[in-house]
Amino acid sequence: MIWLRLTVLVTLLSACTHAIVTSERQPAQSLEYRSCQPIQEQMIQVRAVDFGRLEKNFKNVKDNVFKNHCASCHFGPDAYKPQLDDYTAALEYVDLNSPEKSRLLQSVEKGTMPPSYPLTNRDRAAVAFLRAWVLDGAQR
Amino acid sequence: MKNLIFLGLTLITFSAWAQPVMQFKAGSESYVVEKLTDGHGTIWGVEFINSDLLIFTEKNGRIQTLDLKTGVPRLLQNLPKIYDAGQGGLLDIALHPEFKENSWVYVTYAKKVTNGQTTAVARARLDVAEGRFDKWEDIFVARPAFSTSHHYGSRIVFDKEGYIYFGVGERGQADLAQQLTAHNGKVIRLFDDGRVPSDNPFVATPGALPEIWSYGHRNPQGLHYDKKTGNIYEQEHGPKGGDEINLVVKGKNYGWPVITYGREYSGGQVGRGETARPGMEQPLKYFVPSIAPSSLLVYRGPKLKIFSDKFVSGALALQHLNAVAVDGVATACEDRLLLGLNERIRDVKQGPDGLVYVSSDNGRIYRIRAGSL
Repeated sequence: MIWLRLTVLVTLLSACTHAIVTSERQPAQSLEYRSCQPIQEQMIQVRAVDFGRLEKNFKNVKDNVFKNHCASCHFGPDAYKPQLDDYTAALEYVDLNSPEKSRLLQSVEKGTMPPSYPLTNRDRAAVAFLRAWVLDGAQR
Repeated sequence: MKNLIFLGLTLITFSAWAQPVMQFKAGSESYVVEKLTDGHGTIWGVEFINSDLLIFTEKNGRIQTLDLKTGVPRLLQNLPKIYDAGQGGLLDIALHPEFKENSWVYVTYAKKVTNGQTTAVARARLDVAEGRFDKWEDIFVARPAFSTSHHYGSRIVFDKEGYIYFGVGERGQADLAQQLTAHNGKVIRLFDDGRVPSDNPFVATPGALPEIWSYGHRNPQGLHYDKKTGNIYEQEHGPKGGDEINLVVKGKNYGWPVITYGREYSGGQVGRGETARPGMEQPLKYFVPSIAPSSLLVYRGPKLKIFSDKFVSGALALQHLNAVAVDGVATACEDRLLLGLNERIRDVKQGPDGLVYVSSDNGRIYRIRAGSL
């Protein structure tokens, strides 16, 4: 019984992080090679972050914007500044009096950051969420 | 109680941050593919510092670690100077067998020299806590160099005695693969500091480069030391068809471009169109058409039955993960997996946890585990 309950719990937890299977692919048997066995592949639709439902706070910005796009250079005490997994450190790059002029926002919106793949080209919803957080006062 | 233990193990295996992107069934077995990281350059080489920390190279010259407990990557400091153009750049990465004691990390890379570019091997000590390499030193620079930007190789392995092996591509100069006066188109064997072992096969051959272990290779981008058997296996790109998996043996000639199952890109035959000749080794397996293999693993262990005792390699051109029986013949059946990802699979490694990790040219790392969602 306990096993059953916990299994249900695990299933529910999994359902939170991904959506149901949406496509199925049966690799074609090629004339040019011989398959050892039938393989059934199922792609899983990765549920995009619904930024509209997220509270505009630092934790959500860190987990859904910074962690996905900035962490390799800006997480950890030895990282390049600004250290984006630390609220106080990140706030140094936010201008609360003139939020539009915040270096954090400008570097992203001008396509300077991340340097090799501007976020403006990859995830506009993330950029919009970052902007909304900064303009809302960059709450903890 | 037994069920609780099972569930506990299941929960440990699940990493909350790892994103399932695919599941597949092979017979009665089910597997889940999880994305561990994204948003990097071409991830050329992957290795494990320990069960919780992975290290990887990007072709653009960056080296990062990935914390497998949190999913957070970390860019390392003091990186080697490399030449990033065409197929060249920062290539494979390997840890010294005694890394815990000596901290040596080895990379292969494209090096700019006065008359072009060439394949080189460098090493540096890594301070894992600081996330920083100390001074890089070349232990090998292949010669001659060429201004072309393709066929650098290469993968690095160590055997149980601590010798380092790596492949050097023929840089588009096919005939050099048969010449012992050039490093191109060879598998090289050295001591860990770059010195040449006295029992290398061509040490006493006049004019031959003493670093050579085997020759007649085209563009070796898969190399694996199988701890179970002590064998070294190599996988190389053919031209139009003719990719090969070879058992690498001291001093042997693997035939390129004299014998091959491939054809010129124009469709014409290579040389005289021979596929066999005395004194030249036959591949364990060849692929026509080419899959464009860029890595090689012999999977050992019980965790992922679909790979057990098979060659597992990434395919660039045909964009899949390839699994074929080790004792197979040239026409052995294959499992072609991860087709739905539509990604060029670059490196394949077996983790300390027995799971399979693959990187892609799209800057992603995936992990394959048994089970279903």
